[in-house]
Amino acid sequence: MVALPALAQRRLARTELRQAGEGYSFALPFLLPFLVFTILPLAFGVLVSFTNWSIIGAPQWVGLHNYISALSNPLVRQAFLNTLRYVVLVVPVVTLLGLVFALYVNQRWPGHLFARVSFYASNVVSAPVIGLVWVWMLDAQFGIINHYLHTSIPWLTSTNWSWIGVSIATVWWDTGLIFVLFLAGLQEINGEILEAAKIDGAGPWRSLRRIVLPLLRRTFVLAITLEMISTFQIFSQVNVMTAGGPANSSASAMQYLYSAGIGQLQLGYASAIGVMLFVLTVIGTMIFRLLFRDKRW
Amino acid sequence: MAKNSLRTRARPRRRVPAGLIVGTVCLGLAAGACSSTPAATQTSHGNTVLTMWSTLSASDAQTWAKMIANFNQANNDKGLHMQIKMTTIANNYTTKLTAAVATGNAPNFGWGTAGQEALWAKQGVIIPLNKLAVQAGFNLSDFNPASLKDAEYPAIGGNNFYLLPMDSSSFAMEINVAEAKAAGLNPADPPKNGPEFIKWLQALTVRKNGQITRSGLVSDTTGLATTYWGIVAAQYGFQRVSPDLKTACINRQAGITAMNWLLSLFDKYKVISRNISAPYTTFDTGAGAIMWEGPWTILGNIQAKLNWESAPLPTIGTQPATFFEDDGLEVYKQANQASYLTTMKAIKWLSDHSFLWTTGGRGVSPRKSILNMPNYMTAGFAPKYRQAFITSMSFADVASVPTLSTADFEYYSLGTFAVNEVSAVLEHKLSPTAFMTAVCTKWQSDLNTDSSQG
Amino acid sequence: MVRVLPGRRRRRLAWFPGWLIGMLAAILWAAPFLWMLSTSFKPTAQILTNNIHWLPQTFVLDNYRFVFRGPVSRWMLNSLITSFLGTLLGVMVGALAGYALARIQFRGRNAVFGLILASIMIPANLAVVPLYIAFLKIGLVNSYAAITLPLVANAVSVYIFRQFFLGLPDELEDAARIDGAGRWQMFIHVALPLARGPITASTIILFTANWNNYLWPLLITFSQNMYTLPVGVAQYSSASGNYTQINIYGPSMAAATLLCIPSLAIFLALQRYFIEGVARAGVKG
Repeated sequence: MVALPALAQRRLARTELRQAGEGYSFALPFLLPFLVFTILPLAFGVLVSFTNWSIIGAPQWVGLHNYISALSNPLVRQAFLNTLRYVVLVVPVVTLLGLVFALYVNQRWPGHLFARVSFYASNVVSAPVIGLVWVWMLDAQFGIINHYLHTSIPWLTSTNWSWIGVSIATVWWDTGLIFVLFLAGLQEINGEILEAAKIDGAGPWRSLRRIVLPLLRRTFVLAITLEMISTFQIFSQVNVMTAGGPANSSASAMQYLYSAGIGQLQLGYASAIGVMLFVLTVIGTMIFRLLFRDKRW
Repeated sequence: MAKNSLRTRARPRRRVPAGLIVGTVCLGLAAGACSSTPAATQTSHGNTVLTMWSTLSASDAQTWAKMIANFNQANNDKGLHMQIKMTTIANNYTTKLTAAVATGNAPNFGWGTAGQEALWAKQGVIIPLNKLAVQAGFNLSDFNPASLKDAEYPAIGGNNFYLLPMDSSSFAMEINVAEAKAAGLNPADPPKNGPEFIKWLQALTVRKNGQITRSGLVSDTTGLATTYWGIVAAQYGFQRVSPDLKTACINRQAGITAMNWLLSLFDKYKVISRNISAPYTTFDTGAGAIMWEGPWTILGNIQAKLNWESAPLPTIGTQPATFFEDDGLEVYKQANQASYLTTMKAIKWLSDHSFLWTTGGRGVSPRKSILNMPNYMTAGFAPKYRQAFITSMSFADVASVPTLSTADFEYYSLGTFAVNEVSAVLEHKLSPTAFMTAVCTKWQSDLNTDSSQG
Repeated sequence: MVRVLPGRRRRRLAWFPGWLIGMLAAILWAAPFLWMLSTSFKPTAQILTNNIHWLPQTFVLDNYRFVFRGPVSRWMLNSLITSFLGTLLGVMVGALAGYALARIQFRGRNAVFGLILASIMIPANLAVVPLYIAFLKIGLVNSYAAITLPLVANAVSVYIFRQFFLGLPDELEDAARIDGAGRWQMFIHVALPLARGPITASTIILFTANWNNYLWPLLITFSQNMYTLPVGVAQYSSASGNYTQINIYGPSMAAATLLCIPSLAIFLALQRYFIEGVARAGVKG
């Protein structure tokens, strides 16, 4: 920093103070509820993870006991495994479908307005709708999916298929948002570039691969990041569709946290699982971002 | 909503401060408006007001509401001079109640299930009731001793029971009469032992193209199947825990035999379809001929206009046994201990007048005096539906394990330890012997942990 | 943003199969809604059958009558009030904070924004129980305030406004400053009038999120009368709801339809703003 004469320094300090005052007073209506209703409970939650609190009585410090106990509990490991399975299945499928739908709608062929509404509409409704509708559609005996596929797969009642059933419903729910993000990204692309490529003789696949996809890179990163975070925390539809069953086969980490913590009052234990899920989410997101480094973020 | 804000936001100059005022006022109003947690004992016009939280739903809730209404009518400025204010809590009861007790806002009493609330007993959330019951005027010898015992937590409160049983629900056999007749069977002479039962199931199962279209016995591969196993295991002499709650798995071979029996229904005799997602619905639509269930299914079967009847379970093993559960009223910790006796008196009134609850609602009365009332057998639901559930109580002994880790021992549930293990066996991921070892190891470790925690 | 690509006619003919597949996909994608609606009007016998008819052979209202045994209109009112309040406050508060983070250079600004961003990655359930206990301790439960308060500090709203205000040219505010305007006046008279886009976007995103909020209202409401619509409708779930025995598919489809209608109606009426709003938020990010 350049050494300023004393008067200028004082003026700078006053300006800084004034701006800090302005900044924080503008941000206060947000920061106050944010700290009180989000950060503070979160900090307390992290603290509780090192205790064995059951609401009644004071929490007792147990150090890392909850973490060790959770990691050695096969049900918890299963829940985390399920969560990873959800991420690995849902995120690529949603991204791919979102992109394909956006490419289609962007062509502005006849009926594209209908398609645009249809692809996004499913994202607008809430978890119980997803749960109730897909439980019905995936019913092993009378469900419409099995009817048209001519099978009798017990989508939500088999330990092998339950997480796949939940994933199908999740894909239907989440794709709409990713679709819109890609659509916006596509519409930012200058049509003249594509025209020039066509004149140069590039076919549609070529121009897709060489021009469109690279230009969509930022959208890709945003879409996948959002969808990853959201899928790591998958809960509402799991709860409404299967409540984690059968036999914990579809339970996500969040669902297990809910049933152990809120259902059985093992709050220390549940908080430990929550902290571990957070760490997992951060690691997962960071790995993805490292692989797709983009300085313009 | 969004429409309004679009229009008004075009004039930010006037809107923003107004919006802030509106918002604050709304919040203020909202904070003041609408009910908050009901507080405990109050008084109003000379009546004592007790609060109750109910977890009942559907038809149970309606019957219970009537019971409360009867109470309030009989005791408003007369009789006990009490009124009960009831709130229905539809979900997360455990958290809500515990948090309410922690903050001193708990209701006076509520519904509970015997043997499943060891943690609450240990925390003092629910209080022991022996002395209070006697003080309130109960004659304890009128009760089925098994029901009172079911409500004890030996490791915590010794011989004290923590719940006043209001109804006992046992598992009985529900038979689809039309299908039985069509298969040439006599519904008036239901199967009484293993071989007869298998014969019935084989006659009742209908297959098409190798797929079972009507199961002889309705079952899922989770909670219901586990209960079936637990019952048959008990019939062969298996016990989950010793009476002193120190040893797990008495007579393991019985458990293995029972598991093999259950597997044979799926694999060898093929009388159960593996595709049943909703057992009740399957039974009610005639896609299943026989179901072992509790009396809470009576109303649903009637509403589905099913032609059915109930009978005691067959004895597959060497002695009769069946699953049962006691539900009743428990008293929650209050700051004012004088309210306990008042609450107990109210509970006594409800228990004395539970004829309605145990004939028109689910469950069987645990009190001999009520069972002996003249028209008990014929009131409410028809005897052909109810009778078996009443007689089954005489040999019902598969109940909740009253220890802190009770969840791991639960049969009739979803996603708990025992159920997960049974599911694994039914999916051929675990052999019956390995299952027994796994389950007994875990149960023993649970008992060890619980007894070390006192 | 509309780019008309010349040569469309030629393209359409050559890519007819693509168009067809796309249209089929779009119709299939909306099919679950249609199936839900259709099932909600069918009697039990026509639901639990392998004889699939997209149009009900008999229209019945029994399923809706069953659902309306619960205080559905009250649930809808609760959702309306809490979503409206939560959105109103969330947008206002987000605009203020977003503006500060974008246009005021103050110490700790980046740390604050980093914290807000990180909060999106935190599993909601971690904070839920401590928050719940705190609310219970001060008796703030089962009321509109209890449901709405945690919705106010919405990180997405701050993010949208910050991104937008970052893009404002400095000259506009400099001109106002020269005229002697203070910070508040700059915000009200210069920044906010230009913020129609992010206001719309965050209103729509917040309203949808608040309307669909499930876990918190599930916990914080005690009596049926205070349920929001998603919580009330979830009771008809066969896995975690209250009706496990009877044929619940008919009533659950009726309940799901009722829950969908407000969201879908608002969406269809304002779909252009929805899609543009979300798109804008995504692009600017």
